Amino acid sequence: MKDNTAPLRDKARALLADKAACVIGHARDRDGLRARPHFAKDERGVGALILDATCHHNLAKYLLDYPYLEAKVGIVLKGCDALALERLVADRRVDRAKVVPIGAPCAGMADPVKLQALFPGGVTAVASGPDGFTVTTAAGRQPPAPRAGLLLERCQACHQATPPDTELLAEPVAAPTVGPAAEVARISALPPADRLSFWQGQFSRCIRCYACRNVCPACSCRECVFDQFQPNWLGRRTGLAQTQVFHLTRAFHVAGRCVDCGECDRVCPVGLPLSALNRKLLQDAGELFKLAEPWRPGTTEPLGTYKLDDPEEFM
Amino acid sequence: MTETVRLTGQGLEQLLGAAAGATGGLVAPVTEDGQVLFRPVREARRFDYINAVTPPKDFWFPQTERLFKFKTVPAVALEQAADPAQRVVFGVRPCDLKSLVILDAVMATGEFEDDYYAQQRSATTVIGVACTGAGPHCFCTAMGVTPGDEAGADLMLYPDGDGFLGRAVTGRGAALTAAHAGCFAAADPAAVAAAAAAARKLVPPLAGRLDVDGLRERFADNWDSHIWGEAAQRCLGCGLCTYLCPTCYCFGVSDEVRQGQGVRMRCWDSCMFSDFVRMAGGHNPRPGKLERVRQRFLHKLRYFPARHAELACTGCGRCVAKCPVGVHVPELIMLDREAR
Repeated sequence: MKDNTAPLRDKARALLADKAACVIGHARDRDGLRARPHFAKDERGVGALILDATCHHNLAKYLLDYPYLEAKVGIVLKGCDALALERLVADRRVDRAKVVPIGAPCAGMADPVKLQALFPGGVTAVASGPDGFTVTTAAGRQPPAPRAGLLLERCQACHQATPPDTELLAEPVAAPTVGPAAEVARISALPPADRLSFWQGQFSRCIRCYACRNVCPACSCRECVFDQFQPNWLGRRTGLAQTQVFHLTRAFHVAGRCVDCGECDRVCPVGLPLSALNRKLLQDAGELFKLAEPWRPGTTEPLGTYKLDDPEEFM
Repeated sequence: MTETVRLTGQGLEQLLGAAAGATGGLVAPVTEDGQVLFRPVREARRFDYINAVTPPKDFWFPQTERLFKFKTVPAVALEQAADPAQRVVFGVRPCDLKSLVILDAVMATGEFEDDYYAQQRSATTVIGVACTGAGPHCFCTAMGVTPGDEAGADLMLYPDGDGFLGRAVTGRGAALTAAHAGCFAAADPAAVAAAAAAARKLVPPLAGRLDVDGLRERFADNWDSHIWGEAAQRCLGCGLCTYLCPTCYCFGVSDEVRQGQGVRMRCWDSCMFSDFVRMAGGHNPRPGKLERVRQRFLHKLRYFPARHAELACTGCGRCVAKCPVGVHVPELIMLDREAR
């Protein structure tokens, strides 16, 4: 993504002048390196907005915090985030008429961990293009960094670089050609016993903080089954069995509905490769039901439909 | 009680090997898929780490703890959980050591002592290791802890060349050095004191950026501040910060019953979860993210100090490193400063 900070601020100013309640975007974190979600409501807030290749947060789910507003809400959407908005609209959790999407064509995001290792002193802006990253620090523009060295892993499998049917802040960018997800292929090729022990090893680190669920645009139930007290399906008890039930239930819940934004991987504090699980189910849903991967607006949701000729034999 | 020791790299290996062979085993930091975690181990290898991703809290205040089993058929009968086995936890950093002082103040001091916690504590020998470097998210010195503090440790070690200088801080620590005397050599108390003093001088960069003057007074006076709404609008409402926090101690007690028998457990809970204070009738006194975010940080910086004369934050920096949206203790301290 280019540094789109200046056009974004102009757009945000215009929206607020047009009585928008808020513009949801990003600001530079106090560490001078990462970005963080930011809610601009006045000129001071607009002045803190940034939009560059550090702005990897998918903001769509914050729209659930604005259910009863009369005014519109502006929101910055990259290609992947635009699918997340469609997901929430399809689930009837967000009223599209209340949302002003601000389209941000994106050629890939920088990994904050890799960025920190290369630029411990912080950055002022990070731009990405098909050839690599251009990082600007307080000392000025740095020599170009190769794409592979900084790219956020999930961006290697980009499905949609430019939000469709949206007013854009910059020229559209084409998504890179994506091969099959290497991690899914690797895990799928393991013998069943090894695959089980791989996932059990991963799940044994889970602390059940529910960050993956809370950030997920496909997880928008008014009351999550894991928060229900009566009946108490799972409760707070932890252990491998409980953790497996949580992750597998969630994976099936988002199967065929996941937009593959990769936020579950990003927020997990103990580094679980959760998107590999979700991507595997997307691939299965794609093969079994001839669906697009990831989910696209208007497509059938395999676990939300009943058909007599279901390809599952036991049905 | 105070006994200064020298421990070579080989001596440490011997000591940890013996600890791993004991009934309750050894817990030490390991690297697993690139994540540093405290894990029960058969042998500990020394390696460089700033701190573990998750605090060692689980080993004295387990995330899920069975309190007792029970039967209701044919008659009510209880079966107490077995006493915890003797265990050594190695490699705990001063911030996490300080969390023991804080947890002890709540669970093992004064009129009400939590038997389960007290048993875990007395069964656990904690070997602290002073820091030799600070991570980008560390801010302990702003919270009154230093990278060389020994409070909370039973045996405190200061890295010294290939080995360590150390001090038995408690009776448990002295018992450990006595039981494994062959692993240790005597050390000059002055040398140990000098190593401790050097470690205490390390200042994490983030701590230098925090203005903590009058912190308790400021947070006694900001209930209505706009900072809570500002932080809360970003909050995802997950429990990441509370479960990674070495000093968070909220829990819930629940039964799992099936066919006349069951188990009573206590499990960590999180004030960030929307159902945390939901009442039986459905009323929720902290209905929104704002109320919940305010509760968490005022608990750390106002309510706990008022009751126990200590901040309930040790500056370990896990919330800074891991909160996906930048809501953490230093953020609130800076927001408060700017709001004045």
